[in-house]
Amino acid sequence: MSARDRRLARGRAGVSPVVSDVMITAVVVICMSALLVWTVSYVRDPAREAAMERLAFEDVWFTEEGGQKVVKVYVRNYGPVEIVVDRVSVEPPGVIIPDADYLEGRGLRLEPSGGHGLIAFKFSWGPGEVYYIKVFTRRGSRFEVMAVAPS
Amino acid sequence: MRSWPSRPARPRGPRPKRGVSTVAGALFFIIIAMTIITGLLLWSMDTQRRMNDLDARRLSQNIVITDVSFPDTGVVNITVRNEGPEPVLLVAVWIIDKTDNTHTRIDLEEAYPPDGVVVNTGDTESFTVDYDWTSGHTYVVKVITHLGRAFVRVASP
Repeated sequence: MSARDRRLARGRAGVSPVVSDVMITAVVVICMSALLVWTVSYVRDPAREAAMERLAFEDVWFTEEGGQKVVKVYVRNYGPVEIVVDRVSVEPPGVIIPDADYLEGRGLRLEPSGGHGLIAFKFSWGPGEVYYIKVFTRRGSRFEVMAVAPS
Repeated sequence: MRSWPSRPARPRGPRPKRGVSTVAGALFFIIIAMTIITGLLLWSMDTQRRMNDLDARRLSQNIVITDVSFPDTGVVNITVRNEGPEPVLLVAVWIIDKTDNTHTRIDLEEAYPPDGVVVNTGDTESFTVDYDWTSGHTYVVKVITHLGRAFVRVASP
């Protein structure tokens, strides 16, 4: 080995530990970041929280106010997560109540373990008719109750 | 016969430590990852178990309204018995006038703070609520538990 080769070899002696340290650091940072992202997405998964939503219907009634037919639904959140009411549908005729027809309770926010509130909307109900009222939450859960309009 | 040069002897002294930190780092990462994943799985299973338990408790609630009386003007007396396996909190009463189709909610958590009316297993409890009833009307009295169950009785003053 010539003197020049020996000088070159001596100059590269510390490169490989530095490269391996950098690679290990990069791999650990990437893996831990991926693990953190997965953990956060797992915990905050809306589907997981949707499965924990529980809504009970305390009362449903059909009235007339100011010459307009109105349906009122009183709900109670007895589950461990907050519920936000997104929309309500009535079947038949299977319509989603338009925003303009809500008198109260559009976007109703119910606290966990006991939050309660009223949803009221205009709906042209028929006397003696059977209706299925469905409440959809912001996480996509659906809660349904059957109610009979007064004759 | 050709002889190969003998392999140079390894220098004496402590073994080189290169590569040890890599293995240790990998082991640490695997341990941390396994701990987090196991924790999440256990948490997930516990959440599922709690929700199943909540549903079972709700379904097991069994309240019987044994009596509804109208002792004085503006007062309704309700007597209930808990036939379920665990204590129940009554949080609201709905009084529905079937004669003129009015629905009134009385919040028992406000009337009987902080939890409403507590009915222990096998016990009978009586409580009064303020309601301006009309003689001759038919009323549906509905008590609501803290888990959202409703128990109903029809009464007339």
